[in-house]
Amino acid sequence: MWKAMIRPLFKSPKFIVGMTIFLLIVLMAIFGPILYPKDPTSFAGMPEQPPSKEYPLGTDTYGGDLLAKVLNGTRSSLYVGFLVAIISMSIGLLVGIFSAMKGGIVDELLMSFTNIVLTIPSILLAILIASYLRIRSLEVIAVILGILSWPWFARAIRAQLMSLINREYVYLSRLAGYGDFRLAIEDLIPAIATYTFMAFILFINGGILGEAGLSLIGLGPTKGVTLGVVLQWAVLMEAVRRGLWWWFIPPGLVIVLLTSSLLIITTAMDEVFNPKLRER
Amino acid sequence: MPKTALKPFLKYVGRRFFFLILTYFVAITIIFILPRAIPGNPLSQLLSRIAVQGAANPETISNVQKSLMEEFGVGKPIIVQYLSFLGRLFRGDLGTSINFYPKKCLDVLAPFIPWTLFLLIPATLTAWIIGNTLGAVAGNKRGTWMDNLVLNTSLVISQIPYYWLGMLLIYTFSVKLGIFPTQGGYAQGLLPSFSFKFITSVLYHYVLPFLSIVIAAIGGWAIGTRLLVIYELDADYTIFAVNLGMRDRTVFKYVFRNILLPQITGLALNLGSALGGALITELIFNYPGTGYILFRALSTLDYPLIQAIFVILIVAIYFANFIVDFVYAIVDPRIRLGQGEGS
Amino acid sequence: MRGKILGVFLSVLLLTLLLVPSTLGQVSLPRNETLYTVGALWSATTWSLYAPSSTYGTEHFLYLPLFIYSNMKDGWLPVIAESYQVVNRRTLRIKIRDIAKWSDGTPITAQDVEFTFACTKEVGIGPGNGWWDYIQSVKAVDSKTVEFVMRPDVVNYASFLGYALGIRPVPKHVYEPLLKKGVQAVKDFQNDDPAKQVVSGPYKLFYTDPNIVVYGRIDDWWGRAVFGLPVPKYIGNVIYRDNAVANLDFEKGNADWAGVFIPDVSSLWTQKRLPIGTWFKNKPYYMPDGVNLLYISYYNPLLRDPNVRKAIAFAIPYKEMLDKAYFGYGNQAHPSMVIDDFEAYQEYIDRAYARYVWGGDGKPKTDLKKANEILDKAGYKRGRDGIRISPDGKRMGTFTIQVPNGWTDWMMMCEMMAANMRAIGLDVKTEFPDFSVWWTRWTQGTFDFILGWSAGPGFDHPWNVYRLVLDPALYKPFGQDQYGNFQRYNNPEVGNILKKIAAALDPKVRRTLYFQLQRIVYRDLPVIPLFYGAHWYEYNETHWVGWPNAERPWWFPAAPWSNSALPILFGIAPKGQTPKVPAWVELKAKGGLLIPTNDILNALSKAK
Repeated sequence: MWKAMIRPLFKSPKFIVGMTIFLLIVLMAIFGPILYPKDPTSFAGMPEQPPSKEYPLGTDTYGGDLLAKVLNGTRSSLYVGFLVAIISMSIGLLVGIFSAMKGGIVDELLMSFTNIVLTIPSILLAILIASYLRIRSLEVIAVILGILSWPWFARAIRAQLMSLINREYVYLSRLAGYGDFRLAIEDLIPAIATYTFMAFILFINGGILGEAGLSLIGLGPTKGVTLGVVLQWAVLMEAVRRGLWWWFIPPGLVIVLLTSSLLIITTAMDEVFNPKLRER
Repeated sequence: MPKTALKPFLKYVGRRFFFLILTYFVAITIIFILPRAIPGNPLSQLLSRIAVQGAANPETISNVQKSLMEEFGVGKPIIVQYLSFLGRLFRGDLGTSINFYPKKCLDVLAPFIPWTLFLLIPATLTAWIIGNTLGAVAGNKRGTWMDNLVLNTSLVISQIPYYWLGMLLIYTFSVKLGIFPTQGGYAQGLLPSFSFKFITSVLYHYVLPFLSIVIAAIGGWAIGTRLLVIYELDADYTIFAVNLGMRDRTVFKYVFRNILLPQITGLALNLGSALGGALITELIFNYPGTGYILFRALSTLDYPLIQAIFVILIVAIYFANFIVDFVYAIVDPRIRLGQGEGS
Repeated sequence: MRGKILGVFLSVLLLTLLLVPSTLGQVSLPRNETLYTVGALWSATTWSLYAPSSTYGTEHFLYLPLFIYSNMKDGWLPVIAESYQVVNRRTLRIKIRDIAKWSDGTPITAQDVEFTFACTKEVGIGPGNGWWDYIQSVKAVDSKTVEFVMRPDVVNYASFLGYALGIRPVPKHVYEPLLKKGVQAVKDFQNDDPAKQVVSGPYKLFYTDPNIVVYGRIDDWWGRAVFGLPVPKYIGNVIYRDNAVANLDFEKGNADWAGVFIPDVSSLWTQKRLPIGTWFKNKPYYMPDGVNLLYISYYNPLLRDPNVRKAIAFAIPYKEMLDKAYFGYGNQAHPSMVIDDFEAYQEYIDRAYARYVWGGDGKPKTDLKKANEILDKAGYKRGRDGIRISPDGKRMGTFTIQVPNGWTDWMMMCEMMAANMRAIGLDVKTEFPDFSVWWTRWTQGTFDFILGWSAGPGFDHPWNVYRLVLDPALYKPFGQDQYGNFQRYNNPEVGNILKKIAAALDPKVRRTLYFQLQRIVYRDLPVIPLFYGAHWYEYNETHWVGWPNAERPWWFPAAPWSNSALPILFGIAPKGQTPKVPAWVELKAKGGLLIPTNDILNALSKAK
């Protein structure tokens, strides 16, 4: 079954391009800091040097090596992105499945809760929560972003399940005496797996962009270097208006490449798996 | 609008209104609880400012701290505080800022808000219009070079954060080419007035921040609309119409009208993140809007001011949401004609 | 649809413009008459002195003190005051200038001064806050003479003179009606209407919005007969988002007078060839402005041993820290906490004893070997992981050294200190919490190591530093807020010496007492002095010239944020004109108006 699903993906040029870029960046994040083992927070040399042999991406105002910062930052940003995705996917799945399976008052309550969280602007709430936390680790940032970004997914999962539940084979399973939980595991989850996978990718995107946004407004992680933190310092030190392009272009470029490659992957998947979008 | 349809219309709008009010209470309650849940000395910035200002004798600091603690201090039970907080909110009193003491939060905020509206509303609407048009055209011409161009560029552009695009624009057009000013809302040394000189200066400074929001937001709308158009073109009613021999242009017109509905809802849901993006963009451009004052409030931990900013921003977003709901109710025939409710 | 958008667009634009006051006839400020300052980065609050912190300019240009003190000249410039008279050892009379008037024409009187103090006591904040701890009474003898009497139970000349000479009077006829309405009315008064402002200084508010505060010169200011008029017609303080934005604008010549941290400042004139200067052309570029210390709290029992503290003093990489993290903007502080860069303070340092304790020139040199020896000798053995074990068997760590997040220069210094402390077997980590957390820990004493500031050069230096850092009167239990004695050092002997110094008028007596104090400080090491923080002061001569510097040191303090820098505005000139230093900035002996601090002290000691 998996083969049948995956093979058509590799016929999509979009998917291949997206996946290649994404994997390259992941490899860079994993092996970069090992192959280029400079400490991103220490004083490396002359401040504000443009790229050179010694400092491939130049240095910042405090003589920090920017290549080391970008490599380590990519790693932490990806880490935050994955954590956010895991958190919001879990909450979304739980709420969505529970809501669809139980129905009735549980469904009503869960869905109004979901709608409330959906309507409160999540970026603003994230800023608000982060502003009260004085010590923010990467994990804390991920939790803040994760607990705010699941609602649309929960709603979508519920809608999909509802339409599935009303189908005949599910009805038959129930007649055969399967409990809710077993039903969910055996029959329903595979049906929503692709959709969940795509949502997972979009959550990674949201996590990376959310972290960068929080960092820029000064509420990023208090320890550790992320792409957002590198950008924040570039802004704080006026790198843009002072023409220090090597400081703010690379981290932003990595963010854009990372998130757009992920988006391209989901679009390609959507085109392959969604019958309506297949080429006529 | 026929008279018979007024009731379901009002019912829909009323329900939405009730829901938004309920959600707003939840938001306000969160805003109220957060600062009280976490310890710390919010007066620290103000006190340290006095300390380094030269008047460093310990007596002054202790006296000021005592006096301020009384004023901002919390001794009453939490529920009493909550009720008085709500009561003051209803009277439009958002409290006194710590860092701008003795200024009221509302007085501090007031001059910044028009700048944000002035930036956010035109930019968001422009992006929405251009994005939807591009997406619709691409979806209609599915599979052509134009579709591919729009889709692929949109996929990348939609992922460019506003603020980073802002940085690129400043670097290219201001630092390297010197065409546009690098920062601010108007030229230094000008006094705001109803003069030609001032207004042109404002518009001149407006170009880059406006563009960075518009460009970054177009992609997302284009992708969404394209998908919707494709779905709609595959829908039974479209195929039926085409088979009936209806002209492509006419079919497209109906399709476009149908996709506008979900995109209007999308606009409402998107406002929050658009605002978030605009706030950071303002920061990059040192644009004198709400993002700027929010940054100041955050970096000085001015909690009353932070609360006030959020109370206002969230109310603004809900208000915009409600307007969109209202427009939606008018546009959607199902609501207008009293046949069920829009999804 | 598009028409509607345009409509929204235009109406928002209109709204914006209508919300902005458009009553001003003037459209822009003439650049050659406007001095742009980077004085303060926070926005306008209030122009009343009865607030914890007023808008930049209120103390600087609007409300003058009786005397302005220059620490470089160690003299007092009589501004609103004309002269002083010592009645007896506890009583000082100050005569106010006959010509001194408020900007509404009402004379400035002794009653104004009396009222200012009374009002502060009633409101709890305001000018001369805390005076009642040292001064028994402030009374108007006649309309132009005010009398200060020191409390008999607290003989403290430094505080007594500081309050009496430095007070900024407020107009009684403006504040008395407010006070009658209640204390809150005084606190809420924002004094933000240019038309209604009643000030004593040569400027008043001209225009303000969140981006800028503009002061306009009062051309018929009462003081012109004595001092002349300040040169700039307008002073614009742009409210920058942060240092970096301000620095860039300053570099471009959009701001003329700055007092901010600029990384690698000398490159502005050596590499970029800009007409920018600081006090010194070469290192350290800036004058010192306070002693920055490594506070070691007595909170953790493991850090109470003076041997450990002494080893740390030898482990700190002073020179490396200053060169790499601070761009060389300061010198290593003298272990006595006295600022030895100012000549006037040098006599208070017991140099021979400092050399005996610390070797070399009296300042500890980084010497890891020596630090290790001290710890070895004191019985701290290295454990298996290289971290030492205290004589009573406890592992020396993990300790944290902290500064607020974002203070990059200080953060780097902490990293360097932590690395060296680990090298001598103390497990030290850096922690960079949010400012408010750092502040809470600092003022409550609940920390291991903190890099913090103390006090700066003043007529009461070094007493001001010693009392802030060491005074047992400021001792509070751990966990209670106290600005001062942060590390919670409780030594009654030090308290006695501090009291004696405050009561001493004879410089020789003070000197002996300071020497005694230094012996205790070197023995107990309650704190470790690190370096002198810089008095941030930079000028850009693109539009204004004549700034004071080490070659033409006609006035100091020179930073725009200093509330004693007003005379600078009288001696600069627009580019193209020749600046003229006013004669009155000199000491009396040199033909100026400044009264040396020692004259006042001598007069007091001669009195009964």
